[in-house]
Amino acid sequence: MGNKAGIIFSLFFLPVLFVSLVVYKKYFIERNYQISAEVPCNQFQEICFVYRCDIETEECASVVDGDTSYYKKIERLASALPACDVSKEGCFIAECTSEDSSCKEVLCDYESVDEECSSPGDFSKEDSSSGDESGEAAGSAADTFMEGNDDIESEE
Amino acid sequence: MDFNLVTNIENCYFDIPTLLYYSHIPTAAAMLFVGLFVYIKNKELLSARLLFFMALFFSLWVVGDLIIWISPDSRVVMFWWSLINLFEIIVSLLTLYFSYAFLEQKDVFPKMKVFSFLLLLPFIILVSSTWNLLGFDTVSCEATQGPLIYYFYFLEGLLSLSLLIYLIKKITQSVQENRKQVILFSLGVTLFLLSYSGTNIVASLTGDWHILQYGLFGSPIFAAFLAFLIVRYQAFSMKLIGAQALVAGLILLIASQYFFIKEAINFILVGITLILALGFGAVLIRSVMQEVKRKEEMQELSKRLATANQELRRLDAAKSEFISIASHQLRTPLTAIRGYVSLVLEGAYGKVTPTLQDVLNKVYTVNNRMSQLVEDLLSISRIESGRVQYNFAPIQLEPLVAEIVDMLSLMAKEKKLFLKIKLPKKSLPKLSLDVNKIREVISNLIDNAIKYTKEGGVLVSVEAVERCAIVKVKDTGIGVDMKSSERLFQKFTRSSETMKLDVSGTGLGLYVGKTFVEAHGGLLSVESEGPGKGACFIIKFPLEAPAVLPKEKAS
Repeated sequence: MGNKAGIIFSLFFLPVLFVSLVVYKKYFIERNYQISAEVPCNQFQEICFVYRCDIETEECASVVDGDTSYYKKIERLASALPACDVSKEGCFIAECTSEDSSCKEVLCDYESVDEECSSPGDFSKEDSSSGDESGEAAGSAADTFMEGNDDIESEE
Repeated sequence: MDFNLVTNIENCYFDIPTLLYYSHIPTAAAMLFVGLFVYIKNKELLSARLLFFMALFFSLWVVGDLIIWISPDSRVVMFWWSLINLFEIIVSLLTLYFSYAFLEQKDVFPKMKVFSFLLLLPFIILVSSTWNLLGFDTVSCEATQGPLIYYFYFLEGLLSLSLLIYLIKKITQSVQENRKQVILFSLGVTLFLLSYSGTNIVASLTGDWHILQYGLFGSPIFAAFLAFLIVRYQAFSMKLIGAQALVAGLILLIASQYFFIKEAINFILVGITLILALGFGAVLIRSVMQEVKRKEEMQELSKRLATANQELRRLDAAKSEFISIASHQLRTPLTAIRGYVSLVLEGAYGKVTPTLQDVLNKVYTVNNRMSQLVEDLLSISRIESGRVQYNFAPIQLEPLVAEIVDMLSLMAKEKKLFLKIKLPKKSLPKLSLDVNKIREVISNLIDNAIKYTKEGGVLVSVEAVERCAIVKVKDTGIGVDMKSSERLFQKFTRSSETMKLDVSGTGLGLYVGKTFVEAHGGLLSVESEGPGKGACFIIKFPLEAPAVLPKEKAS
């Protein structure tokens, strides 16, 4: 290649190559990026996002209270997430622990116009008792998660 | 299948639109094909290299985008998503650079390169940070874009606007013959950027990434424009490659329909279309190949012709110089000799003895012959160079002939030959003649007649026959073998009879005479009953409408 092609090569390719390597290291090796996921939410104790599944147009799963489900968002570093299937037992990521500083729970904000939020006060005492049970289940699932978190294996 | 939130995200498994493969793979292939071949055939050309790099980064972008669509791995999506905006900015930069290099046929100023790099620098520095991508959303299976996207929009807008302004300026400034080429190129580039970058920005703003698939079709349109420019205007001197690129691109587009057709009948129809495209494509390429070969041969011939023409011009110039030299350098001494000999013969330098007189007369005669030869040679040169100038004027033929006969009567008398003239009873109309040229012709004919007659004489007649004025010079001399009469009027040719007579001559007089007569729209011919039976040289001139009433003339 002549001089001019060499300049173009230096100007564009070398920086791109360098940046690609940096990006590769960040995402593949370090997994240093936030993952945002929707996790089950305790509608009796937390302000949850409300999802109303349209049975006619969607396949509705995890239906609670008819066609409505409650969720919250969780943001964690990809490196801190377990390599397990969250839909299966033993794999729980719904709670942030004190050890994971990057973890963030995002509950629904009443001021948000795009989202519908639930309110713990909307539910009756009977609901709250079943809510206690689900709260206990959440607690034991959290313990399971804590155990699972120690055994994070890298995919690679 | 075991899902997780990092490497195998459930939500990333959705129905991939079938148009996705069709819009991505052929477009990248077409651009890469055109870019690569243009580069291979024109490695030294800056615009060819730029087009190749453009095609390369565009293909990288397309590959990255396709992977983002189909990959369930957040690491892969994040990796490619972080880079494709950078690739897109580079493509836009290179498009601007390429447009300039292609249209201006020169490189941009180094300052512009530095400025471009500085524009790109924030992107390069921040591409791996959260300024570029905030994170990955497992619900939508998309990366969340950071504030760097606004800088991306700004750069894209700036580059697109700069390109548009430059192209408009270029179109208005281009000369008529180039304008169509510039307009076509501008159209192709604009469509490419508008469709590719424009739809990317719209998709980014609206979140509807399906729009982007349609935008990618701007790329083969751009490649088609380039290929057309190559074929029509030999933009990269690669007419054949352009035709091949067109055909390859077409076949690729047709074949890629197999990605999404489901019904058997469509399968068959696409197959038939593909076979037809292959067949006609092969025919097209072959005919373009032949045309290119023919054109190259023509160009080679044209080059050789140009060289030969140059050589001819040089020779012509040398000839002109020779004529100039001859007319001065040869005539001058001969004129001087004639002058001095005349003076001596006239007694200007004292009495001349008969012996000396005889010698001087011979010198005079030979000198005259030499002068005549020089004149004949000069006439030949002028005739062959097309430099003979004719001064046509209305001339009465009879007095001219009479004057010539009178001039040569002494010569005839010395040889004891008769020289008679016969003129028509009614005057001929005036003819448009160059009197000097015609005098020369008729003098030469009469002179020849006297030279090649031993006994008897010469009769010169002028008459009008069937709307022609005819001058005949008939002698009782050596005659002409009619089988070889045509050769008499060629350069440097004398009949065998003249050779026997041992009379000097150049063999040029009749050639020159014929040329002069034909220049007047006339004919010069010879009739003879054979060797030893005399000859008759005939000049025919077409008659003009008579300007004066004919009157009787004494012969």
